[in-house]
Amino acid sequence: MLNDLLYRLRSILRRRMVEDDLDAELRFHMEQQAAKLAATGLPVAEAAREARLRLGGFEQAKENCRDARGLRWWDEAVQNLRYASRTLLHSPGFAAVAILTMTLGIGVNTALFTIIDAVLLRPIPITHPENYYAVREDRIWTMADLRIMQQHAHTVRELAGSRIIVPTFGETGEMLHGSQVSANYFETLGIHALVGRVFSVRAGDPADSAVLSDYFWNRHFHRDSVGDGQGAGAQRTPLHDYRRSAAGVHRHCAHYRKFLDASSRRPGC
Amino acid sequence: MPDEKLELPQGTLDLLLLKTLTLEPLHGWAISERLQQISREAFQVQQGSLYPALHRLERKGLIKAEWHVTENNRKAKYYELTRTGRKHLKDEEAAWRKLSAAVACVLDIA
Repeated sequence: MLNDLLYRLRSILRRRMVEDDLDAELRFHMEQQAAKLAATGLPVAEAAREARLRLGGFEQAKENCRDARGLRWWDEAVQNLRYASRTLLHSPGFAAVAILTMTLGIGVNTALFTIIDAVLLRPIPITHPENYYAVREDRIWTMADLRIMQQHAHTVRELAGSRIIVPTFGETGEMLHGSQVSANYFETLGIHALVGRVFSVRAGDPADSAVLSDYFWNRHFHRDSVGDGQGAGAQRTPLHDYRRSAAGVHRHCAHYRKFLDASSRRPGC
Repeated sequence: MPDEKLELPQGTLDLLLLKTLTLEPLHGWAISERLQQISREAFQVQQGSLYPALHRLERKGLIKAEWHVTENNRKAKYYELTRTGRKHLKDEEAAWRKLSAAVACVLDIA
């Protein structure tokens, strides 16, 4: 297998030498044959012709040897490439359209796959996702509802809640993607902070704590220090509607980066 | 040239080529001559298929080639059995003997 590969590679890379060798080898054979025939009394020219015939034609024999060396696919590929580039050079308009079409097609596919990969294919970034269940509630629920559920749910170890909110940020009141989550949210999912820390029940964080996404932190604070509890960046530009101080920045991850700019906490949960 | 030339059964050319190389390295022309002599002119190897077969065997690593000078001071490409080639030949030879013996057996009975 390896021998085969090396042999073919050598045939391609040292093409000139291989061709010369082949030529010399077959020529030698024809000369020997011609000499043998001439020795039987055949005229020299006739002997040479006969020798060539017996080999099945000089060029044909060479071609068969190239085949046997495994060079045909390579030769054909090179020929096809040459032909293709010639054709494309002759009609630059067509070439441009073709290249553009392919670029567009590949680009769109790559973009789509990136999104689908991040949103659908990649498992959520928690350890042992098989131990988690998601419960969806269609009607609007409050943190008080969650508290009642927490009191009555005995088949699960932890119950954390999250709901979508739209906090506004800065002077312009830019709307953000946000989630309001229960205090035990990060502990339950086992999500750690990239910088600073996430809030937790154990640490007894105040109810107005916030955790920023890596993306948000980068965009608005240019990865400026957020600090533990007293985020300098967050204090300079508070999250207006919620006026929370950022406790930390959570792990760089596509899901959260794309869908949550800030997670904030609601009192009591 | 004798009139009755035998066609080589498919796949036997490789076996015969390897066999001719057991004693010493030979160039293509010598191989074809020797095959003809040994088989008492029974088959003449198609010269057109000789070289592709040699190159194929070289590619498989069963033989290797080197350029040497002949007795008449000409450069020629000599083929030589590799270790893998020797082993391969042994296996193929055994298989061929078995096959031909079995065929002969059946023919004798019938």
